[in-house]
Amino acid sequence: MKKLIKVLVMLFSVGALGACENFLEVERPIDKQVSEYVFSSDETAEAAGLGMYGSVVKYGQGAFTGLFTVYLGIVADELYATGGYESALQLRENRLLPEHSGASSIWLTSYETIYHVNLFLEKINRSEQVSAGLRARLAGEARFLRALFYFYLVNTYGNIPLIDSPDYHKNGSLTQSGPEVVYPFILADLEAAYDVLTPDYLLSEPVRANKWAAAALLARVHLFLENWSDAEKFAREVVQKGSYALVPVDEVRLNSNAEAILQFAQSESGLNGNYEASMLLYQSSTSNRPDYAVEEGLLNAFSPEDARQDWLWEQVTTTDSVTYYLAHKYKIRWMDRNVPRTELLTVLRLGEQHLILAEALAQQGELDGAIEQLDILRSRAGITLFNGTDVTKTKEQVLDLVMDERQRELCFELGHRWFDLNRTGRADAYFSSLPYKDWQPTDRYFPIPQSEILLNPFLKQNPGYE
Amino acid sequence: MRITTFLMLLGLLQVSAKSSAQLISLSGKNMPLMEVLKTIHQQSDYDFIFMVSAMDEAHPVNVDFRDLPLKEALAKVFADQPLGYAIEEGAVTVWMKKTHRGHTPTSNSTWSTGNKATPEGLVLAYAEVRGRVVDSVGQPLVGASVRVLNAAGKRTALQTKTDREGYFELKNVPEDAMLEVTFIGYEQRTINASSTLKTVVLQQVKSTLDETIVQAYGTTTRRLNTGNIAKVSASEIERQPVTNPLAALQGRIPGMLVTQTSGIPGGAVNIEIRGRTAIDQNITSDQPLFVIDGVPYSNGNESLAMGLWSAAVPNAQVQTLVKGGISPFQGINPQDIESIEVLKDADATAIYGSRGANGVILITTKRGTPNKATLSLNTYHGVSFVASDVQMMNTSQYLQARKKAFQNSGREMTSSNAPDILVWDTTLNYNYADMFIKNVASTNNTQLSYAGGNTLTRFSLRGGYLRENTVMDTDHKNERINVSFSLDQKSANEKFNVLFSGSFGSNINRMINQDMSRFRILAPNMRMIDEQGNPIWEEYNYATFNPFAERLKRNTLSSKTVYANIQPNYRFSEHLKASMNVGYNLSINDQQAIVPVSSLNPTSSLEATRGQARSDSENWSLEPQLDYQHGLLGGRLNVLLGGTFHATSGSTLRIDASGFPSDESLRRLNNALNINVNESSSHYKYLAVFGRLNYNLQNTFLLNITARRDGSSRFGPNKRFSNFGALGMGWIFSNTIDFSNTLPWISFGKIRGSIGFTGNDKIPDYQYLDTWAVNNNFRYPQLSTQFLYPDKLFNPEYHWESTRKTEVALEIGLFNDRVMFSPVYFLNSSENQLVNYQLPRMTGFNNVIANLPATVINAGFEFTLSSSNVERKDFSWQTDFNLSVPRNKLKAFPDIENSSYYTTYVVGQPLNVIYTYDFTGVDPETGNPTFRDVNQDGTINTDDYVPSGTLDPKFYGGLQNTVIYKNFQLDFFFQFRKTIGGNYLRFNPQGQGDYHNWPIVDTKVWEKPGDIAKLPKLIAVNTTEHNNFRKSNAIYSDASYLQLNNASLSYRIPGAVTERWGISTLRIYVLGQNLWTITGYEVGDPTIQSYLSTPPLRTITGGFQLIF
Repeated sequence: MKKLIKVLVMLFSVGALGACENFLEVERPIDKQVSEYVFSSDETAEAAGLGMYGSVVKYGQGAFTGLFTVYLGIVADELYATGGYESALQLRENRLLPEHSGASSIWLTSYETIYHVNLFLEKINRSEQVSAGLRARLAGEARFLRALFYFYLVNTYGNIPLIDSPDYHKNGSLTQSGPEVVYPFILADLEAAYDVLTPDYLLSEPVRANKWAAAALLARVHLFLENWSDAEKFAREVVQKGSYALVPVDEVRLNSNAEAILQFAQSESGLNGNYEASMLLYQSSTSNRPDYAVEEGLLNAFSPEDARQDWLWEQVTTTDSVTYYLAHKYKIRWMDRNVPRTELLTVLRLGEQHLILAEALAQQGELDGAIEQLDILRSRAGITLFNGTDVTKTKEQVLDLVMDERQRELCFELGHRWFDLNRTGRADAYFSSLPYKDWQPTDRYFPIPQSEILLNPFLKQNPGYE
Repeated sequence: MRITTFLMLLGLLQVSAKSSAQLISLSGKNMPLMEVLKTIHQQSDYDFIFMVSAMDEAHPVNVDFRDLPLKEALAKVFADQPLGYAIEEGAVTVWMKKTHRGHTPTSNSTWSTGNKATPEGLVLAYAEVRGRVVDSVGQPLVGASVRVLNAAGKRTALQTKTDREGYFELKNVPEDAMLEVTFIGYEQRTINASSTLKTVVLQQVKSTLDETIVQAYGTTTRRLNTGNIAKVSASEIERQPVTNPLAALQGRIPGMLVTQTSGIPGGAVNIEIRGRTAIDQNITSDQPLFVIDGVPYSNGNESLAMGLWSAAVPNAQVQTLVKGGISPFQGINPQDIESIEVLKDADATAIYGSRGANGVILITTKRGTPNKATLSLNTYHGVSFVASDVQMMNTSQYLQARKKAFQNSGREMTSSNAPDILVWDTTLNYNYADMFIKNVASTNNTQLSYAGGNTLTRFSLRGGYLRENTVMDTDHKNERINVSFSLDQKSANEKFNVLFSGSFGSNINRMINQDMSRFRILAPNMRMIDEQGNPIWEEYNYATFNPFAERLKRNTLSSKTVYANIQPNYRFSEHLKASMNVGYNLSINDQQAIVPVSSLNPTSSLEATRGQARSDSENWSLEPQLDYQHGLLGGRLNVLLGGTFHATSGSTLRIDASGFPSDESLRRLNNALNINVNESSSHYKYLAVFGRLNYNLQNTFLLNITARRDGSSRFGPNKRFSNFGALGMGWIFSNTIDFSNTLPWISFGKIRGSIGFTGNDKIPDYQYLDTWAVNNNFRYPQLSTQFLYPDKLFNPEYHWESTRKTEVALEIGLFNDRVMFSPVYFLNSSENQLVNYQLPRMTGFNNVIANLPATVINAGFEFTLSSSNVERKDFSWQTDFNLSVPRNKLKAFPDIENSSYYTTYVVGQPLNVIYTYDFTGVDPETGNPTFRDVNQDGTINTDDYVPSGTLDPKFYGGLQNTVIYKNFQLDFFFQFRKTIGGNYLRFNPQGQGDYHNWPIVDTKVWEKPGDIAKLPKLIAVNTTEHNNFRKSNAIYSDASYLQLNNASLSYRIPGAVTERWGISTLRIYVLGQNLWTITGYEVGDPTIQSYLSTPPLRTITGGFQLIF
């Protein structure tokens, strides 16, 4: 009997001991891959790199999938929400509360992509199994994307945490950096991207950053920094060396049009259209009230013969018999499954480079050169050219013309108007003149999301929102 | 491996076992059996009990062995004898194999008892007493002890135990002696010793003290238990017309909060034992471990729903507040349950190790009773309806308030911001609350069972059908079919026993897409239906969604649960038993969400969609155990050694299909233009070795030690193992201290206490892995490469969290245990909690799993009082009361100032602390809310947003009364809770910029300068003041209640009547649930604190039970 007990105890204990190590090994989940595997080959590393572009649009209605265009369009003077809801009125009247969910969403979705980029950079730089050429190129694309996001964040929020690693221990309690720190960081990223990226596109559509995307963004950043000569240099390079050409106004929305420098593919497999269009276009039916409509001021900015009126669309709703004008740069709603995939969200295009060039030249006193650039776009729009009108203008007048042209040419494209009015110092006087706005100079920046301040006591709310 | 320490403990036990296991040496030819037994007695100290006549039948013995254990020695000695024997504690009983039933020993047969008092070991005597001990239904009580008392009533050394058929025989009994017959769980009887004694019937004790309660890996009694185990019996469960067994526990267990999340059939029931321990309830589960018939129930209490529930709800219009989902216990029939035990303290739960950190709930299903085959039918039918009403404004009240809001804000009304006032028909007045949740739902529940068996076999077959629908729409219903069986088979020699049980449950929940209660807030003049009741869409501009069209959407959750247990055990001797619990369960959940075009805005271009999800979860567990019992140092030692191997594998498959050409084509997935498939899997393994040592010294001093080593695959490779253990002690002082002179009304007294460590691994699988997931929704059409993205922040370093639990308790029985009173104090301290550490989103995600260096204390008092107020033949009245006074505190949190929890938790305050502005009233001039300037800096800002109280209940409990008069039985149960909770203002803090309706309240709202009002003015444009009001303590108020939770009245048709019909029992009854609530809570039900959810329903049913 005792022997039996002993044997049983032995068997049990030995069994348990032996089993301990092996028993707890479990199968990996089928829907995930571990990091070591992802960065073990060119193919998988590329998948993670492409995934960065996927991150940009992962949840729909992220910063680059509607929010910049719509919300920055409303806080400026391009769009308004027809429903008259409090949250939309806060935007239109420039009295955002720190809890505003739209203002927070831009932050949340942007930093998620920034994490992906930072993690990707850390991994790709250490991944010795990935070929050196691919590593450099992917790192360049990553840095381009990071610069793009920081450019938008610093212009939206002013003081932002500048995160350059995936280390959440450190990042969770980071303080903010002002534009004076963020801009050099952006420039460093862009220059690095500019150096390693090549002018060709790796896919049949211009959906991955190439050298000219880096140059085009560099031109814009230098313009914002008022480095006129650098802005001119990079814009000119894109215009002259990049093989881009202006297309008719109703084609700027098309995928792979000759003008597009960088577009984001937003479609889920099999679906056409993009998230931004789904916010801007009519709500499911043309008989229903749309969510967002174009402000009168912008409607009036177009002269009757301007071909760019193609970007506006008059909708008479049957339900309340009101006429609305819709932002109609994109024509196809997301989910229009039966239409071939034809539209992509445009991030950078040649038209903007001409405007950058015009402004940089004007600022440097080359007024004729500036007018020449403006006329390139006016010619496409089918409106009177300045050159032919033989008017002598001051530098200020030319800059005003540039600004007016930007309003028309770049409307509904990721918030150009909002940034332009603010960076040129026109915002205070202009917005104060609009009767529906409750403008304070501190409204230039969005509030830091209240939820972030609650979680990171080192963040400081922007002035005017405390 | 730390496992070696555990093995050393085993070695020690071996030594002690050896010292009491005797070795026998014997050799000789043709030795008389009497001689042999005498020798063994001298060598072993074991006494022999036998009838002298038996020796006459004995054969001479030829033996030759050396140093054989007693057991084996006896086996050799009795090898060819016509005698049976049994080894008991310190004694061996010998009997003639043919003697017992139907054969009375001849008159000259005598009995002999060998005991230590006589050096020879064998005493011959001539007076004999024999008899049989049975229970009230005639079943033999095996091992009952029969002790001889002398004429003065003092115990003598003379005693015996009943054999396998309940017989006992004693000799050497003085003429005027008495016999004391005792058996655990039965009332002790003292009878006059008499040679003509036939059958002694012991009644099962009424004292709850000796009632059997199920504990981890075994049973015990309240008297001898050292841990905290609370029990709810079948009769308490059966009286409640609830379809979820967990709902039947509401208010009945001290220290356990049971919350029904809604009145939707199948809705989840939330359980919290001894306070909130988890800092992060999203990641670690606060839910206890559920064990059904000894096998862990893998689903736990995690609600079933696979993400297809969300319909396209426009966020701006309706706040999403529906919690829960479908309860996994919906597939288990409450009527099949014999008892539910709730294990709370370290002593009771430590043997479940990490899995038991939040407490353990043991569910034991019904078994057959031997020799009593019964066919039983139980059926009830009833109605349910919403009990608490919320009055919303009618159109004129609503419009008036809306206009006032615009006026107060100085905002112009336009057709876009005020269509309800300017555009819509203001003569319409819809009462949407009535339209959506005012139906009367019905419940039908029928159970059939057949159970019985004999001494070796017990079986039970049970089946049931339940059908209930909802108050929202009576076409939507929940149906359940369940079948279960159990078979308990013993071998003829009763050494081997196997229990086989299984159950199949199928639950089909065809529910409305969402909780329609939330649509109460629609403007009362918003037109969403035409005269025929068809949805129309013009005013309700959310083009894809109309609550009336929701009824056309179909959402079906079908869950099938199978579980099977096989529990063989083999008794090597009366000391050693080996057993194996093998459990398997499978749960298959299929969810289908169909959105037909007919439920969509006809002018929309949206298409019919169908979502299909399936999740399978398969579990097996294997638990070998060795149970060793032996006398030791005058007490009784019980050692349990065991191991657990547990594996769970789950998979989910989700298919989203869209682009169906017609509603008819929705029937087949192939008809979809576009199909998105998402598949995932998870695996979990768990391993443990455990040991429990229980020592009972003369039923007075009790010691229970538990040790355990656990491994879990949920941790990184180097963090997988951890040790846990507990120590429990009890002292039944009423056995030591004689109260008979001083406090004669004290009949029982016990002090018990326990201390121990448990852990927790209830976190999702694989979180330590640095993983990338595939972005399924995103792919360039011309590219085959998958898109990968990091799916979370990862942390390979997190490890087991640990909880230290201590408890002391007093258990007092008064007036022959008719009144039982037990105060308990417990103190649980959780450390190194696993949390989804909240991070600002700037880090990329909002959380990462980590151990938080914080300590959370849960302490509290629990009181239970049960009293048998009246106990007469035709009238009895029993009262049970429990009260819990919990306290929760974040004791320590180093560096909280620099953590993301700085504005969520406060050291020294409960975890459920609420931060608010302190609302100080309405400014009579402006109508704006005012707040206390906490830091007196002249402005109200986030520095004035301060901790102010907790949502934890101050106390809670229940009161049960059972009154039996003749054939009538009346039960009623109250539960109560003292707490504060969110009130109606949190949904509508006086901001009326959007067209939402809101409830009518009596409170004065500011209207014009000079008004002294309780509520600030209505506004149409949000202001900082009103925003702060929304975050002030004004949105909390007292939510205490006293509720008549359950009442039942039953009548048993007199047996004389039913027997004529061939029926043994016929009982008819009426049951009521959630009958009456007294509360000061305004607007809605205080138990769910939201008028946007359907509250728990009032249910009244009637039925009968028929037993053949």
